[in-house]
Amino acid sequence: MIHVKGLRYTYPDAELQTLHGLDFSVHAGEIFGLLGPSGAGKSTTQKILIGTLKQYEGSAKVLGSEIRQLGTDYYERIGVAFEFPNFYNKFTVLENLRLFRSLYKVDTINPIELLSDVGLEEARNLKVSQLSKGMKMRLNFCRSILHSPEILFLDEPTSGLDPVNAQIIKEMILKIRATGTTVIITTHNMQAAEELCDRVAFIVDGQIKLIDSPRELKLRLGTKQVRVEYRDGDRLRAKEFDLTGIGSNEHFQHILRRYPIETIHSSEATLEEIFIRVTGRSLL
Amino acid sequence: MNKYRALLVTDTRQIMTDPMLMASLFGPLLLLAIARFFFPLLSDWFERQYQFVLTEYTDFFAAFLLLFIPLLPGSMVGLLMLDERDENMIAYYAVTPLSRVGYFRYRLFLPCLLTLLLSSAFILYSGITHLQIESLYIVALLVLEAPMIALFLVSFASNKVEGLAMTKASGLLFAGPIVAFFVPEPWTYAGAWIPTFWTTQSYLAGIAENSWHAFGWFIGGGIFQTAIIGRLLRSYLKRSD
Repeated sequence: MIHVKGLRYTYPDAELQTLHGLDFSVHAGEIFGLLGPSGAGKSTTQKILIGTLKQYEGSAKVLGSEIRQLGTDYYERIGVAFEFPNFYNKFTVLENLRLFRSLYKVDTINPIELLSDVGLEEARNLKVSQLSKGMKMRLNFCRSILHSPEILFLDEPTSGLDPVNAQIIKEMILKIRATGTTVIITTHNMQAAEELCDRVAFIVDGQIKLIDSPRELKLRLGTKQVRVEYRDGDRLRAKEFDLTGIGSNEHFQHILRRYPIETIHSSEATLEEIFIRVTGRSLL
Repeated sequence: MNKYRALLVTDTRQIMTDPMLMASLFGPLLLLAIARFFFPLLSDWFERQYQFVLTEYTDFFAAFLLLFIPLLPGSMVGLLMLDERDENMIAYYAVTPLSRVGYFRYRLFLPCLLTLLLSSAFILYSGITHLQIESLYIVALLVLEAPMIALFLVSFASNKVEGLAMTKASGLLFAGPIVAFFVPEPWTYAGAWIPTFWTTQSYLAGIAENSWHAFGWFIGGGIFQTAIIGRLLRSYLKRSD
């Protein structure tokens, strides 16, 4: 679906290169995350993939064609939602969607249906200026999938959202993936990436440091241990055990039988810990 | 075509909800009405009260009012573009089949079309202009002036408020007809840096039935204004990247 090889980019008038030779592929139907701190090059990578920066070096092929050679028909096949959900504020929700719908030649989804899917049907006649950030983000998502794109690019899709709205957006992303759409997420929100992405790429200083599935990374780079917290009289105690052979570990079984257990957690690493360990950088 | 029609509908809605934008659109029609109905009355009154023959300056007034026409739709579109840049809408258009190029094409075509229609209407119906083959030169130069004004606003203003202030600076363009009409040769050529100077000279040469001069001023003005548009467009694109 997407094949990137030796991708380099230098902004006009800039002395330093922003991307230093990226290599990665994205498979059809997967959710792929580009993760990294601000200024790492993930937005530049996304801009190249959506065809707004064409003076790149190396190769970036999407849907079988080199991006720099693609015309405007490319946008009939991809959808993009930027971090900031900008609309014509004086117009209603429906008027905004109808305007963008009319820019496509391909069949589009009825905006009312989309609004209903994301819980905005009641707001369809409200002016965009009257919407909350969460509602605008949902509307932004609707705009990006009006034409049922084959690839959907999302920039910080949960940025600045409360947990309820963030969850709605995550569910929407999983739902669109279930229809066969490939999703590329650019974010520095590790938790969202961990929940959503099939694979993630860590980008730092214009280079990809690592690509893998969050689960693999967590297992591979975490410690294979389980931590048990239990109550011993008035005292809260904790003990860690190797996962290897835990079924026959006498001490572990003794604690389970003898004491009231309060928590049991395996000690795989979080994506954020892995990121810091691999790149030596935090995500802010 | 469908996408351009949708943009036109959106613009119409925006204009109808903003009195200032509406004034920019209907202003040229008001100018036409002033030229047609008010100017003769004013001339009579001046003549009766002060024995001042205003009609001797009809050509100056005609050129002056004509140059107002591209200023209004040009400013209107410039302000719409500033709004869309402030709201980051251009980035969204850029990732649709309209594309960034399509957006600019539409945005710069709109003031050209409005100027073409409104300035033609002025020449045909104001009653103070001369309808002749050279009128085509004037219309063409006015049509170029409209996107030049729009680009001037978006190239130098950071936001709509600054853009509004800059519409006043666009008033400098009226120095063109003043210099062309009132400053004697050779000093009048000092006004050649003002784009509207060329338009006025072409108009004046045309009504003096000096066709070759009118054509020369038209070609010179056309090259000058196209060069300015090119420079402003590059500056704007660099700024919006």
